[in-house]
Amino acid sequence: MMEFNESIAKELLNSLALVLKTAQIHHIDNMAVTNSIEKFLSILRGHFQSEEVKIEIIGDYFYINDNRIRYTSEYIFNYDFLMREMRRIKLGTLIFHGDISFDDMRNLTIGILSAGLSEDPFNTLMNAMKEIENVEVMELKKVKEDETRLEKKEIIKRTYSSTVLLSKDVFNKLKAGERANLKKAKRVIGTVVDQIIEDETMLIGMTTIKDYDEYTYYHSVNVSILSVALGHRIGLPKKALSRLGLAALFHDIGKIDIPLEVLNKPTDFTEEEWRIVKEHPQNGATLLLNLRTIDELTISLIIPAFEHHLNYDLTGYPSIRSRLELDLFSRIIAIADQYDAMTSARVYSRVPMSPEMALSTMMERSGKQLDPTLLKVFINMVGVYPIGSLVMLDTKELGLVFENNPNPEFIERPRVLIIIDSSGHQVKGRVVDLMERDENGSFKRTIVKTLDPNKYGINLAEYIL
Amino acid sequence: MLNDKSSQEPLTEGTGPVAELIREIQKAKRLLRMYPSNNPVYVSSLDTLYNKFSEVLRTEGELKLKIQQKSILHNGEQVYHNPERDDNLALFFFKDGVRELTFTEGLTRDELEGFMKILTSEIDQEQATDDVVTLLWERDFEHISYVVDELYLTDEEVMAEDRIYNEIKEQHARDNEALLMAYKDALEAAEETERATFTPLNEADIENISLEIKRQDLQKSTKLVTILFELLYLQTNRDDLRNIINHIKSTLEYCVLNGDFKNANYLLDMVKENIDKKFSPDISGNELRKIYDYINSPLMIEDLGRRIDTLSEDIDKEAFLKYIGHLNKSAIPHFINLLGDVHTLYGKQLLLDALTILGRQDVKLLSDGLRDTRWEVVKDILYILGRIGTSGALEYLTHTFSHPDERIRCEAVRVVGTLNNPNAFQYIKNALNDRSPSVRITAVRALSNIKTEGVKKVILTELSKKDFHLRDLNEKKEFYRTIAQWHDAEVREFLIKTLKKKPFLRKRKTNETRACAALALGIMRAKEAIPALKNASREGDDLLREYSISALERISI
Repeated sequence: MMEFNESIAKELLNSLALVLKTAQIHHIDNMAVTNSIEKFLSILRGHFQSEEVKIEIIGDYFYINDNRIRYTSEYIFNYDFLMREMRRIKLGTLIFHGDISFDDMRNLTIGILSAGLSEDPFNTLMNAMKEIENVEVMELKKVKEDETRLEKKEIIKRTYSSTVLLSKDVFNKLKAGERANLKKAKRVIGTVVDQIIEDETMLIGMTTIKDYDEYTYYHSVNVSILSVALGHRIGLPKKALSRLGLAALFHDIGKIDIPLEVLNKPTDFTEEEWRIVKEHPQNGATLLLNLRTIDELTISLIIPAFEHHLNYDLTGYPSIRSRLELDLFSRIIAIADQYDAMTSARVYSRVPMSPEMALSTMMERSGKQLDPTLLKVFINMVGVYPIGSLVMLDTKELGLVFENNPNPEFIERPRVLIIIDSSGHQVKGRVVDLMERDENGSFKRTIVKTLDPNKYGINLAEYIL
Repeated sequence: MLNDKSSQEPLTEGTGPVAELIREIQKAKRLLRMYPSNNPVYVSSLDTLYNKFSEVLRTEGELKLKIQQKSILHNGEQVYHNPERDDNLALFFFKDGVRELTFTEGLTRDELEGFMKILTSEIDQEQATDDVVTLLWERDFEHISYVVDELYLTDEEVMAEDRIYNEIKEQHARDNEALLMAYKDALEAAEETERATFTPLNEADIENISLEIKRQDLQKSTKLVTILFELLYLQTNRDDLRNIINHIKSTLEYCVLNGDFKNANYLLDMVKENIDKKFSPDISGNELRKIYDYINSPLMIEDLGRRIDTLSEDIDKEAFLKYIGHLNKSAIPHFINLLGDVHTLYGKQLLLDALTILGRQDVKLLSDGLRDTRWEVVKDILYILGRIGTSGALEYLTHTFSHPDERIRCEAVRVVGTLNNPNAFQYIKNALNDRSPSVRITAVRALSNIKTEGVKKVILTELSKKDFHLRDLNEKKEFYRTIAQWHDAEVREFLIKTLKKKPFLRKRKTNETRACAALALGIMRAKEAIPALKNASREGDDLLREYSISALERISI
């Protein structure tokens, strides 16, 4: 067997995505489509010759001939597109045997496109496959079963709690004027990054946990997780994600010197108190400067600590003289920070915003306070019904959004944990997929209304943990 | 923990190819730590190790090493054992939780180099922020995997973890009534919450993000400088201001140590812009002056010298020279000290350029370097004085004409020849009588630039000296080439006379001189010399014949 070449494999995957992309826009015999098919075949023939090539989706990754393909920023959006399209038609595996003709590839493209429009996509594709030689398709395997999920949930819980403990440790040590353990911090954030890369859903779900008494620690952890997830979505490499996660964890470090009675004040701040609170970005930057000698890592931490309350249009605080361009990390952290702050209960704001209301408010700030492109990615990530949203279904069932739909085209169809059934009885632990259809091909359930779980004191932790 | 007994255990050398490979890893570790990556020793030891790895992986397919506290095992057999704490390969991985390392076929040389960089990194230092696991994780090797025992969660932490979740659950006690109320409201109320809509990314968004990812690392140092000055503007008391100025200083040092002179210049430009400003009634930018003292300090310049050598061609020359423009003449002696210590050619060139810029501020101070005990430094200073070209430099370098090293005397003569100083002629003339032929040759070359009647006479006098013909052929050629630049009758006649001179004693040396005269006549294209040259071309002396024929050819063209 030939030696596996990852960069060629990446190119192959990218060219397959381009075939489908161009075929969605143009007629199948348009030159753009034929060229992209030729390109795909030239890579297939040129580098894999007559060997069998298996392209497979396992979890959130593509595998080619059993080798996991690592994402790179260059191709990430095309990979996402391909993943989405294949999942949409429940296509899990594509196997190319030997020499594939142009007609085979043309027919396969037509088959995939028709499957996408069909009520029963995979069978439509299977029918189309009868005309195609040398290409085999297999249905997408069901996502992890409950048992694996439970095991995974425990791992995720442990990661979350380790990060919270770390956050407490860092804040307390710095407050006491001691040195924070950055080695440990890097390792814990490394685990967060790994879990986000593997499957972001559950860890993002954990960010719905808010702690009223120890707001700052939990908030820092939540901002860190949401930032890493957003960074991953835009294609940042692992090392950068680790830096981003650390920077997010430290973004509010300047608050350690704000007296608790100010920080937890239940009424409006006085002018002087506001002045103190608004100094935390500059204090954070100075504290980090005092903490370590200057190196790449320190710089990555200092910048967002200083900039995270500066708006996209450079209003906000601290007031600055330069026409600087906000750092990418700062803009990511600002989005995660606002979202988590709005959806958290605090002393001065006991009833937080519902997740969808928070997103809606953030959309109003797009381009003014927040980076519009990153905000789009963030909304696609958390979903228009973010995890933890309390939703009423057309079946008169009440549920909590439990997991987002990975297919952005069906973003309004997440998996929902039913907490009250259609006859008004409380139920426990039943998760339904809003993508499920009945025998007529209609969706079985659709969200008709959202409610604010905080208004009713509904305990998200009860369900998430 | 390693116990006391362990220090008495011997270091066990395993046998077989894997044990041999481990020994090679250790050997390479020592060498790679000692030499920079462009050094041949570094390259060859990495190559040797890579070949050994490839050999083992070809036979084994994959190499799985179990890591214990003091030992490394392969297929259950001990391939490494070391009871000592120091330089213990097993312990290096074990202490951070690595329990298994697997190398698979396809391992590349780059991956191996990356792995060795981890082995040679100084992760045990107090300031270090990485452990082995983080370093392995960050590298994300395709053909090296590892298994880690997560030691970080202690029993205490596990208890704390349980506490966290219990507290959270307690905080939001479940309220069945509230839940049912929510349900009731939802059934009754028609109110729909406003929500965000899904907005897909367009091509421009994707392109922007990709671009940002590519350039984001490049801009961070510049951003830090901007933030430092913003912090400076925000200060309201003197101590805090001083603290920020110290950080500005450290950032400058960081930029210089990384060869990032572009940002160092940006920082210094900002210093310049703010130095006379008042940030508040009590606080002014005057304190920033100490940044200038710092950049001119011996410590900073020593650091700079070290980086020039190691980063060498990675340094942006234009930015470096702009940085030098920020320094003042007090830096000159420190740069002179560096001159003899820089080993790379590019580094040396940068230093010469730097001293040329700085030396213009104070030629006398630069000339103090001519008293240096290192001959190469003196030669470099002379070279720089020549580049600066200030005629006043002559008074500072006259003593080098009597320097014991002829290389210095040569350079001194060459440089003086380029200075537009009327007194230079006398010094060069004296050098024509130096004991070293190289110095004399340099002197006559230097004179050729002056080209006055006086110079002509001096050279003719030298050529007429009784023992001139005894000098080395090269020296004589140089003198004759020089005199050929005066295309006048006096010179022509002198040369024809020399050519015609019949040798009695020391025939060979006299014929050499005649050949040189032929050479000069050829250069002058003196038609009047054709008969004499024809005669000489028929003589028996090879050199004379060859030079005469070539002169005739030159004249007839």
